[in-house]
Amino acid sequence: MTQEQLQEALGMIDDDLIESVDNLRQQRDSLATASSFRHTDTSNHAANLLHIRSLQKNILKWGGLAACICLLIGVRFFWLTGGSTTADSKRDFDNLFSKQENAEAIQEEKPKTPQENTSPETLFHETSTNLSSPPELYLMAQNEQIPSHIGSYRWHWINSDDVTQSIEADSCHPLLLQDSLPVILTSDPYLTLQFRSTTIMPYELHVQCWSDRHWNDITAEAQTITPVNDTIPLQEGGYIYEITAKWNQGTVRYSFYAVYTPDPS
Amino acid sequence: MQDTSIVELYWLRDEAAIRETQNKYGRYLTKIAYNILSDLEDSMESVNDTYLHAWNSIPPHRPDILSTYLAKITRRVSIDIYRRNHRQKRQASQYALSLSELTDCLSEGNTTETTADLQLLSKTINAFLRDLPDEPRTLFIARYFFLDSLKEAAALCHMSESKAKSMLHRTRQSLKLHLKQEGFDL
Repeated sequence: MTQEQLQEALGMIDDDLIESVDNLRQQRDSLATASSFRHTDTSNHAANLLHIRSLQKNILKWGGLAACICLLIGVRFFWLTGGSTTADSKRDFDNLFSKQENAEAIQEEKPKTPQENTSPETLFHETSTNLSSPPELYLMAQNEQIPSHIGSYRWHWINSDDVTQSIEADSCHPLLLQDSLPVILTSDPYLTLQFRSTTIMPYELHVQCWSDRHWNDITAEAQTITPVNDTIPLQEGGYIYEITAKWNQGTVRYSFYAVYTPDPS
Repeated sequence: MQDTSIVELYWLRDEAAIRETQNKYGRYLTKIAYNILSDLEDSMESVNDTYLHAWNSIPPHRPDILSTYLAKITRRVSIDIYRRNHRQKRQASQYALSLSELTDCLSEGNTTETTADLQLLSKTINAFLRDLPDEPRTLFIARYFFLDSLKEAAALCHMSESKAKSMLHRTRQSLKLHLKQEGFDL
């Protein structure tokens, strides 16, 4: 059988199956047409005027709102950084925010601990060295970003009370995840790793892979691959990859399935 | 105008049938042709040929769903035009891309040149598609029947392109397995 015979047979799909998809496509196209008419019909002057007025209203409304938010953030920031705001205005803000916190406390119906009071120094700030969950790993192939599957991990971080919290999660072996691992089809011999929510690269990266002949066979022996900076070379054909990344905050295993077919040209 | 009325015009050999078909389905058919041919002029030629085929085939046919009947004709005519124009070199159209993706459903290495029974093959593919959940089926038909781009097909199913790509890959692998089990020589 050839591709073209297969394509020809696909042209003979039953009408009711095609119709169901066709209806969705037509809905999509009619929405797109309605939207394009809304933006391109220049013949109707009255409609244009209305459109412009509504735009003006929106700009005023959203612009005003954005300005208010910026002002509030600016003043709050100024106050937090010990700027030249007067003691009175500090007290006003203190009252303003403590009112909000009191409302939250009533809603939660639990007493506040001393650390939960509003001292800015004790607020928990997630930073790239203190993440409350492991970073996600995205794989870049042919200008496309594909999220990897997060498997087992151990992760700890310091919460707002200066208490270390940790989490340990277990996951299946990647060879048992045939139906859920993300698939990457590429003709690039390398994949670039991109960790999200942190700018810090792991201090240790370990990459291993199995041929896709070994799906569901967890006894199969893995091949080790040496990463080059933030890229990993791919094996030709279909392989399941597992990346173990170690940070000071913990260790995370990521996995994905990549099919690398070299470009014939 | 309702499809039944348009079909009735064809049966009455009234040339208004073609005008009404053009009004109602002209853009829709052009999009299908363009997905295959990537050329507006060729697409218009394909759509005009579709009207002619419809005129010649209704009667004796009385299609229940006129849109899919016309879509199938456009698809077939466009593929013929594509083959005629690109015997030597494949142009980067959605048709060419979908053809290369469909190699997943065939065995690696040389494909056998034996002619498969198209009726039987399409029956098997239909049975396979009916067993699929809605989402992968919609995606598969959008990509390989309507030859929508991956981006359009993914948007139709409200999913990311990478998820759509993964789902299509799995569906092609399942189709390959299904065809093997049904005794097709891949």
